[in-house]
Amino acid sequence: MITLVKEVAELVLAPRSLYVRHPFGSPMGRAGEAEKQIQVLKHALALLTSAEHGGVIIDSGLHY
Amino acid sequence: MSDAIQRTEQIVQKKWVPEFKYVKNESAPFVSFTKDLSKAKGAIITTGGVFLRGQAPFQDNYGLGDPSYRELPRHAPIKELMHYHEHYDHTAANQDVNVVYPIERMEALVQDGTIGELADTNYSFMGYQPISHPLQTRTAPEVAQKLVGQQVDFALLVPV
Repeated sequence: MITLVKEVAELVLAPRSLYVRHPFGSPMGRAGEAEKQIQVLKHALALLTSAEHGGVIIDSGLHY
Repeated sequence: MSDAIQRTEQIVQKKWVPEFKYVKNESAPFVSFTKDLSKAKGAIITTGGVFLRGQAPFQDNYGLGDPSYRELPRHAPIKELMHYHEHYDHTAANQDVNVVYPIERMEALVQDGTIGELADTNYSFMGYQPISHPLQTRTAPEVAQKLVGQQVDFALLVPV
């Protein structure tokens, strides 16, 4: 799961959550910035394969 | 619970659903992902209220939300993808639907071999669910079953 709000991710407890500092309405990044949107996906895929337990919330370090 | 979460809860209670409380899950489901990603099939679940032109739009139901979902064909033309959701700013999504439903970006990862395949059908909800019961008991399990039926290995949930 992509998350814009860490506190919400802590309530949801999805198997894996990737925190991005993006605004509501733009979870994948800015409109038209394909490479940066793909970067978000690659971070999410890395978390998919690396997570060792459920409920993990990783800060991607990605900014808008 | 943080101040921001409490404030949001109070706003929803005051404006729309007096009984609203955030659901707090006590545990997280988990299965280790061991498959080779380049052979894995992924799917997208957006909560951006995305729907295909011709499908019924989501409805806010006077602030009560909408637990239904829409099926989004993988190869639907981008220009046919609409979105309705009263609780976020659609400026970016109007310019590029990939900000809430990254279908073209996932396709790019299929093309470069990062992931093996994308589901023929992806899913969309309207991510405003102040009454979560029908979502939890009916529509979300239904989508989960459909993902299993498509033999999907992973699903990316994109809340807005």
